[in-house]
Amino acid sequence: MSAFRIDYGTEVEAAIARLESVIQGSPEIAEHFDARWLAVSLIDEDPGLAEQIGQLSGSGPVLRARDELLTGLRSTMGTSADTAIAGARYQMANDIVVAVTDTTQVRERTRTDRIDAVVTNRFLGIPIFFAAMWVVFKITTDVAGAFLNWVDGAVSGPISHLARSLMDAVGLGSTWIESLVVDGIIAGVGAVLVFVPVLLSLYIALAFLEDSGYMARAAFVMDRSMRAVGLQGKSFLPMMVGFGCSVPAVYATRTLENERDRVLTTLLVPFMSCAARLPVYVIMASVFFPRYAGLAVFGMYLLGIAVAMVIGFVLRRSLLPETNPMPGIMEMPPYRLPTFRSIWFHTWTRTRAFLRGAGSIIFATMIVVWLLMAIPVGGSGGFADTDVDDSAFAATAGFVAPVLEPAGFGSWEATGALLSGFVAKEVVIGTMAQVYGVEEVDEVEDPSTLTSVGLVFTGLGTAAVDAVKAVPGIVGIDLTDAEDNEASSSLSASIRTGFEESSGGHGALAAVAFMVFILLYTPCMATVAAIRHEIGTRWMWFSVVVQTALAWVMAVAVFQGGKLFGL
Amino acid sequence: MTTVLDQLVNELRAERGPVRSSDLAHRIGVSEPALDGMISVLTAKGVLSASSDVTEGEAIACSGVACGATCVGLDACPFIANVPDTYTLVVDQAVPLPGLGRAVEQ
Repeated sequence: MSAFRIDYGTEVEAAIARLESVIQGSPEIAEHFDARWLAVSLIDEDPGLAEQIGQLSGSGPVLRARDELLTGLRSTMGTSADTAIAGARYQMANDIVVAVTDTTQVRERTRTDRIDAVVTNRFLGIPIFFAAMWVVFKITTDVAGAFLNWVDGAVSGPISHLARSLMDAVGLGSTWIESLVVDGIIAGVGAVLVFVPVLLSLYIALAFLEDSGYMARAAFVMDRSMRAVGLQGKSFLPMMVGFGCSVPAVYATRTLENERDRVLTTLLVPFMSCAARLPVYVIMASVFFPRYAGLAVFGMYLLGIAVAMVIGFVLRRSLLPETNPMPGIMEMPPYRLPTFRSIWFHTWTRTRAFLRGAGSIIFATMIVVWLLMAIPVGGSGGFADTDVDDSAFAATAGFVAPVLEPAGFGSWEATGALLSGFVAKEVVIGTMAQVYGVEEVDEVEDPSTLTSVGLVFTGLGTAAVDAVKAVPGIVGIDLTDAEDNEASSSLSASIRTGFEESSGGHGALAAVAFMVFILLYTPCMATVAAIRHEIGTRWMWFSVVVQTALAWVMAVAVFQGGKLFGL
Repeated sequence: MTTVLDQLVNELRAERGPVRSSDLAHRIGVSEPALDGMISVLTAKGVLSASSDVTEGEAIACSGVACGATCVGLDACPFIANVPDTYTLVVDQAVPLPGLGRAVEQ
């Protein structure tokens, strides 16, 4: 067997030869080590070796020579010697592989290769990504949406009736405590919990896409698009997280090396529609566009991405000039069939986080909103016994409401919901349930608890049938009846009436403007705190002011523009 | 003479966007496991940065600083998407690697 050695190239070999001669001039070292091996290892900066050599007498000249040679190599080669040595070793390994393997056999393309050829195609990749997202939102709005009224019925029926009965039993019936529990907590938190089936289905669909390996491809495909507008491709990774929640997405921007990229991505993350906004889109779309709810929700997500790209493009050419593009390697996992266990794990942990939110911050906010609605300002009546139009909540929201009149939703109810949304976006729906629910409460006659329980079970059956009928709708086959698509709860009717009134009969247009405002306006306070923590107070205010102004401009443009076109 | 590591870096520098590891392995004529090893070496040498220090991102995201009461901890932060491991060419290292010799029999 012939011995061989690696040729590390002219400059490195010269340095090795020089160091070898120095080593041979130090007998105590030379007798312990092969001179070439030691010279290569020292120039390769073998960890710990220099320290070990340093303990031997006569090591001084060797280590000094090594340091001088390394400095010289770096200046002449423009890179470190250890990288050059690694390159030569890999080249040797590759030469051996080429010499001993049959390279005439063409490697058979795997299933992953064949799917990737289509899914990550330069031209097909983005349409396929949007098609996948469209299917996800059709499932969440049409299929899971069928269960909305059923859960709503359970919350506003048996659960509310049970709470009233319990209050009566302990002598608190018809008191402000009953109002707090039923009209405040159950109506508010319950309205948020109504959307658990929708979020459950969203999380299942996203977990399926993640575990199948598709999401990695989506990041790859979108990476190219981000670069097209001057963003670093890696910016899309935090933005993907932003579809779930903006807070971890803002913190995830730390993975970007360049500060300008970090600031820009942090400013753009809130435009990605987080899961908390989904319930607002769903209720508005199902009230005003029942047949096109999936499309409307999908449109909001697309609008968020489009606005982020436009804002990114503008900021790149103004406040945050472009940095050098940083090409990179992405390692794609193979496609695989997701397991039920894995999908359930992802789905449950995300849903649990949502439920914890409902049990803490949303719960607390609903109590505050109820309190503000119970406190009389002017008018007649006492605490918890005042006309809601004369409450502190109505007075506060009514002060801001005129600003939103040009957008078609300048009522105190809609404005109050938006103001409370600063705490958390889920709260918008809870507040709407409270303000519209309180207004309608006198008109509704409670059915008996027994009847309500019966309705819950029959409602579950109807919801299941509707969900099955909605599945073909994903591919455009509509098996549902027109009335099946219409949101039928009293809350829906109140929202429709409220928006029709505030917009002068252009309720649907005002609803679109409202959804656009929800998408674009200042993110929740946890996100604002995260932005301040990551990029400072000035950028935080920039984010809050620009987003709110942009939301107002876009909402007004949608409403006034729509009216101009006769919508 | 250009080594296979030089080719890898040169291929990356020629790209403006991301490149899939399987494509890159095909282009420079090595297997994907071999490419993984090269990536590890270049990352250790600082030529590539493992932006998928997503582990760090996850730790930051789930630190509980901002999620407050809704934080479910690092192991189960629900909002972290599975993203591919990404290795970015470090700009200040993007200089030509030297032409190096090949393995020769002695």
